[in-house]
Amino acid sequence: MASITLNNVGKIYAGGARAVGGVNIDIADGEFLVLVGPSGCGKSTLLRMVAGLESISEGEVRIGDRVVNEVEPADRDIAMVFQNYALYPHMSVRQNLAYGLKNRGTPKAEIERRVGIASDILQIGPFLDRKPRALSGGQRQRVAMGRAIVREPAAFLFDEPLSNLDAKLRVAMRLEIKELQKRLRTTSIYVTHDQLEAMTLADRLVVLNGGQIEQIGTPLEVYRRPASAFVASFIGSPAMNLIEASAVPHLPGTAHAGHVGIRPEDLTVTADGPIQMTVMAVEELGAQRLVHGRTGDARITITLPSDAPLSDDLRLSYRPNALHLFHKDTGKRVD
Amino acid sequence: MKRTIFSNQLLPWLLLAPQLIITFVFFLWPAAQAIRQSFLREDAFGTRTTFVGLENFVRLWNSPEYLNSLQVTAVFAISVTVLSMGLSLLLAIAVDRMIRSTRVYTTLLVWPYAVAPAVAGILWWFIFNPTIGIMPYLLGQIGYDWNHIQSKSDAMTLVVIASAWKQISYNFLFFLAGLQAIPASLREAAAIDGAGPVRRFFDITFPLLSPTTFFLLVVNIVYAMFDTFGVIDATTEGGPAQATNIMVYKVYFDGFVGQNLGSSAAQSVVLMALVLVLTVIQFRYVEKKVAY
Amino acid sequence: MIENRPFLNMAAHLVLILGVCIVALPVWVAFVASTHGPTAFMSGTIPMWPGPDLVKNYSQMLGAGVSTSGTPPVGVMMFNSLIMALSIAIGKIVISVLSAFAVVYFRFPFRGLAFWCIFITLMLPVEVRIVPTFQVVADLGMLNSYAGLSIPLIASATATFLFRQVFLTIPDELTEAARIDGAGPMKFFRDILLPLSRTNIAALFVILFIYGWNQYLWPLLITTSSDYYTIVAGIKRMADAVDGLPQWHLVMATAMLAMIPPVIVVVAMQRLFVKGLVETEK
Repeated sequence: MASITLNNVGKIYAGGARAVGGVNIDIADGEFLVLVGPSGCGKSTLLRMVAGLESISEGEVRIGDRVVNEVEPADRDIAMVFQNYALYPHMSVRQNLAYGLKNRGTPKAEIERRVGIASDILQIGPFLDRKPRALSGGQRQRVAMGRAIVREPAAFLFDEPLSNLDAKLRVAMRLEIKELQKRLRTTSIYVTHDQLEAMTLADRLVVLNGGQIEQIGTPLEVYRRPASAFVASFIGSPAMNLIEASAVPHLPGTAHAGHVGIRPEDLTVTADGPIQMTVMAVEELGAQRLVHGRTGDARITITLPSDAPLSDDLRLSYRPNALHLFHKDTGKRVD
Repeated sequence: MKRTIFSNQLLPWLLLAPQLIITFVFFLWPAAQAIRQSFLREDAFGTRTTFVGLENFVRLWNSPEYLNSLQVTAVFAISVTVLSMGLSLLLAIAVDRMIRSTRVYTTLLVWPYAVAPAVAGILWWFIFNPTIGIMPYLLGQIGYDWNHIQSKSDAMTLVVIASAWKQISYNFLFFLAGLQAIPASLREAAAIDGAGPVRRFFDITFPLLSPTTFFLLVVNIVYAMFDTFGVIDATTEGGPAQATNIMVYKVYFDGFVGQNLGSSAAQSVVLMALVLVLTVIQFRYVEKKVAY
Repeated sequence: MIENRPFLNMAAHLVLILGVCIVALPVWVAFVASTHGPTAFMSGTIPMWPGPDLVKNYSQMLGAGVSTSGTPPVGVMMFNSLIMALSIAIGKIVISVLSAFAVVYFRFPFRGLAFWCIFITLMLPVEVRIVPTFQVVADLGMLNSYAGLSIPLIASATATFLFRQVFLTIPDELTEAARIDGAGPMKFFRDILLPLSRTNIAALFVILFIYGWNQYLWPLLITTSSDYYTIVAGIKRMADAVDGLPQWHLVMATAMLAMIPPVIVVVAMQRLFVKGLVETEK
């Protein structure tokens, strides 16, 4: 168990292209930190730098009290779960779990004990002598986690571990990972491009864009007070409505605002609301429905209970403090 | 390109060492010697060597024997290629029609690949033996007097048959793989469009098979030019009267039996240039140009 | 097959049966000849059906050979062929798998040059540079030795390319997982890479064994002592040496024995053989 510190970390590739720059993160012992962002935002690169699979061009990475910039991956006391699981196809599940311990010269009895514990936790006992190709996707995922657990490392690193699973299994495994991490209290860094996965798993999440940190915070902080227009549009589903400030009359204190944002659920239908919305399409989700439409030239989406009355024209109102304003040049939040 | 690599600097050289040492000692050095030797001439007693520039090559170019060898090689290579590929294609098409017996026929057709060219030569030499062979006997019945020891064309026919026979399995396997890689839906679509089996073959199958055909063309020419030494040596030894003296055999004969090192080296250099051209063709065009 | 045309099916079967017969004809004739006594050939044509002397001819060739031909018993030659074929096949695989590992998994100065040196061997078949190569082997004192029979033939661009191709398809994540699991390069090579290349190695072995067994020109040149004759090269000497009246039944028995091992390998391991053929041509 250990804290992890990223101090002004950056990555510049041999060709001179910059993938990541100026990243500062303090991850507390036992914390579950999620790195989230669109593809190409540098989140995997950052994780691989912590793992030691990519060299660190700038800054330093500490695991515990130790600067690990020049330490081999095997000696960083971390374990990693890969997107495609990276199970050794020619080894049985048991051998897969034991391989890292064997390489470290762990005594046989100890290896057996740890494999036993891990297979109990993950309920993979029945498959221990099978080869990975004889397992289903979810079972392989468990084995990949088992390989991380047996090592009893200072930190788990997850690189999009659920994206090869189908939607239903993904939700189930998400919960399992969360419970497992709470139980073991092992510091974890988890990379995903799926904002819902990020929200549900994270103690804190880090939103990355273009190799830079856009915001760090708990899921609710990030949801409620997105630090930039990018975070606002990336976190939350359906996405926040972003409307050009010039299209909205009578806004208070908006000299620098480029965009005004409001979450779909913060718009309510009232008979005399100030906003007029022309409904264009409705998506039923069961308990609620998404109503898409336009107001003036802007497209907006609202969520309504499925029993709320619908008409082609709605009038909407909102609480003033539900508005988010973003700077017209930097895209940062203006308060 | 691998994303993940190991950082050791000495280890890769240790790993490469055996391959590189053998390559250098037994491939590059001898090849360099051949090139050097091709510009030199030894006197009759082997005591003095002088630099003669391109004279060895000029002599080759003016030597009727060498020009004959070029011609013989071309006739031989083309005949072997056409005969072997033609038969193999026919067999592959027939097997491709089969549903249950594919495997049996394939097994019965692939084993000649394992027969050494020299042994193939011996077998056919025996069959065509003018005194006791079965083929001369049968040909005699229809009035043809077979004698590959005297007749140039009979000798060429013998080495072509022996060489083509051995190559049938190889061509068959690649043609069959090529045929089976053509999606059945294409032929079904053509059948619905009203094309009969023969039309389908020429309009659909054969064009789609062209990458395989071109690849095999190159491979067969290389085979006929360089891998048939055993066939020639075991049957005709280049005779009668140079009728089957292909280039590879002549290099060997002039170098070892004739002890004409300068000429043999010049011939080696010409052959290297030929392999170079064939290899470039194989790498450049086989993959891309004839593919759909 | 799209529509049902009994006539075409019949024709296909006919073509195939004819093809199989043509392909088998020379071997059948050789087999028949090898089962007769020396007098069977006096009549002018070879018989078409097996004779009574199968066991006698084969045991004579395996055990004693033909004394006048200057060749050792076929058993000895087959043993030499086996040593040569195994050394070439195993040697080629070992040095190629090591070089492919070096080229794919390391970055070092002159890597491209090393790769080209290996590539160039494709363009230098032994037949082409036969005289100077013989000279080198003679200078190294490797004539009449198993080393001389095999080592000069074991450099292989084809096998190196094959393994390079195989390694390139192995996911990077596997290497990364192994690194995190504390495996260094050689441990990774032994524990992960080699086991994953198992079937490729087996397929290549089949092709290379046949290649080695069937060598003709090279053993012909570098073995002057009959102790090192291989069967494929020895058979010609046998046919030549029995001057005047070749002992056809014995020559053909030898030819059969020269074919049997590689043919068994191809037929018994047909799937690996086909895989090997296709892969080495990529």
